[in-house]
Amino acid sequence: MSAPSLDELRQIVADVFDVPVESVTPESSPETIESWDSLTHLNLMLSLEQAFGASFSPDEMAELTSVAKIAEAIEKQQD
Amino acid sequence: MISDSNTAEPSVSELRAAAEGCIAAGKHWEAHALLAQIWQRDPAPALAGFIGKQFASLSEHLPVIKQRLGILRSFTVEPIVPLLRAGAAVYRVDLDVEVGQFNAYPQEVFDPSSFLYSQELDVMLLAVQLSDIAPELANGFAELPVGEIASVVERVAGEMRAWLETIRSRSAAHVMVHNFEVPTEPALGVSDVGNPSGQIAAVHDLNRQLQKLAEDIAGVSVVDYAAMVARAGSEAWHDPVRWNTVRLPMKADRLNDLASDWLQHLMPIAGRVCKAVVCDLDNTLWGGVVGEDGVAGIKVGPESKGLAFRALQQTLLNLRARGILLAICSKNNHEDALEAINGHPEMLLREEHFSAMRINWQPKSQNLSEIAQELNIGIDSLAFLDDNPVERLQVRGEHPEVAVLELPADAYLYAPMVAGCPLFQRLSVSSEDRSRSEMYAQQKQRAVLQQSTGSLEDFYRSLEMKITFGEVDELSLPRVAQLTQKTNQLNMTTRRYSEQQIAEFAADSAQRVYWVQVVDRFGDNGIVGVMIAKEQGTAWEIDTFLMSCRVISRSVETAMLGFLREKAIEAKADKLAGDFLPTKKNAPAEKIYADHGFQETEASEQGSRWELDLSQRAIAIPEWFERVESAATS
Repeated sequence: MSAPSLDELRQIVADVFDVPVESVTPESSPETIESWDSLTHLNLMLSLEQAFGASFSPDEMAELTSVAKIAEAIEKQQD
Repeated sequence: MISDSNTAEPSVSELRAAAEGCIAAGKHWEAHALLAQIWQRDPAPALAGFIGKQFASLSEHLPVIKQRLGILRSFTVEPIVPLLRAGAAVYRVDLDVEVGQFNAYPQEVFDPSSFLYSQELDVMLLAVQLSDIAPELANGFAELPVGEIASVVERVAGEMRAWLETIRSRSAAHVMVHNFEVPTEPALGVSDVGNPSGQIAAVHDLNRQLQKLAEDIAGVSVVDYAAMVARAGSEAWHDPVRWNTVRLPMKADRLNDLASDWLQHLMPIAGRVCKAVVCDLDNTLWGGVVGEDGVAGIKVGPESKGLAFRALQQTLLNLRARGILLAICSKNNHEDALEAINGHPEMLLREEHFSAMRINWQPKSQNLSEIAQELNIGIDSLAFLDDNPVERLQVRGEHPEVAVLELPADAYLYAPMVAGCPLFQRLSVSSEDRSRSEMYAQQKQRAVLQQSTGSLEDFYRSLEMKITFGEVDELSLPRVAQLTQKTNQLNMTTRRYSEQQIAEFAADSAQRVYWVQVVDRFGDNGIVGVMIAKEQGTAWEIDTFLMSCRVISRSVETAMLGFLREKAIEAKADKLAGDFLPTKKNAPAEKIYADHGFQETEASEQGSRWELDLSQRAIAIPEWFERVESAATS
């Protein structure tokens, strides 16, 4: 598993939700990104799994409701 | 060429930036090549969105094929859709996808106002799992009485037949249907294997019946989902947690396998196919350089590196059996190259397998143009295989429409790449396809004859042509439909029809679908022409008039019009009328009506209209044709 930089994570979020990468911050969440719904959330989880070898349980997935929380969860998996 | 300062290959983010730059600069083909490179390097879900978006802006500037796909499903497919669209974009197919409701496929099939029918779809996909369509055969198998297994299989097959027939009665779309995976932990355990009353046998039986449906109903193909799972291996494929939470049957890294398999069907359905593969020789078809290593020194035998090249040759032979032509384009001395091809004991490909050769020191792009012309196909139906990235770049620069396969550095990966390329797939392989290479060889013999005969009429006579006309029937239907889909040059109206549509015309008493077959002294050309005529009052409207380039310049069009006139007069019509709709490729057909005495009655930017008063002007079938009756002619 590779340790992702915040920039890599932001690029993936930008690609999945089709928003400019500049608008993606650690505070970005379903509240601030309109296209972030349950289906695109699944796409995001799949992208993260594919890109970083991360693996999230269904409970964990439900908790990952902001870019900051996602970054933290992935970093935890790298240890 | 952009590259990272430390490594030879540019990173994906560098490629992305380069692609965006090319789009901004209006370099559309280059941008597309970069997108294809990105996708080949990293077919990741996140990148799929980027590729799709960039391709959308490119598609106005490049020749693309638009396809509309509707998916009926019993599981989550949404994450696969962007992967599918990106994969299609690589081949310049603009895929529009609509997904039906969860597990509502029976309703969507039967409801005439469902999304399946409210728009004109080109293709439909039925992706259903066994556990949804027939739970008694899946998890419920243990409780199914042995005596009822066969009737459950019959019932499910019957339901699927009803769906497919209903779809077929309302739509001309091609239908792809998933077959069912074979349980890897069958109900009866080890005693299930080979057991005629076991679960494995029941699923095989159902899959066999599904295959029969695909044969019975026009325009249906089976997607071998069972093979996909087997290829990956059940444990690598299945994701029980994901299945239980979000109804996604497969793991994240398998999503693209599914998308890739769908593309193997979607490309030939869309008509995005390569008709010929042009191959380099040194380090492509064999290891080493024949000019330096000598015939004995090249590697193509059954040991180590030679295996990689043999495997590629075997793959190319397989493509040839599907009707794809092989050609050579190599910078070599002609004698050295042919000595190797014909003399090396381990070569699988020999001179006779190739329909054209350009072995010289010219730029390869020029050779490719000549090969396309010699084979009488568009340059955009060529694929190009060359280990040398500089040659590939040169060809791409001059002919961006040629499918240049970006062969990896490792020769062992050549055969899998070629075998997995969807441009080489065919939905069906006819006997004509299997002998296409031989037909080209015969064509060459005819060309040689033409050069040695005196007048044109003498030449026509020397061909000893036998011509047969017939009305379309079950046997000729696939070839007739195929001709409407593939013929570009000698085609007056370029109307593309599916087998289903042709069958509808044939069933309509006011329409006629005729085929033309020509045999000459070199061999059978097969069915080479199609005419579709509709009764409109006292006139016959020529909806379709086309001919294969195989029989260009042999007055076959005169014979065809002569026959059509015969039939029209028999039916008491007084006039033949037809349009010429110009395209980029059908200039060769432009004068056909004028040359046979039709009068132009209208002309606009869209095209011209032509009419022939049957009482005023006769068209005879030329006397150098021997007319052979077909059993099917009415």
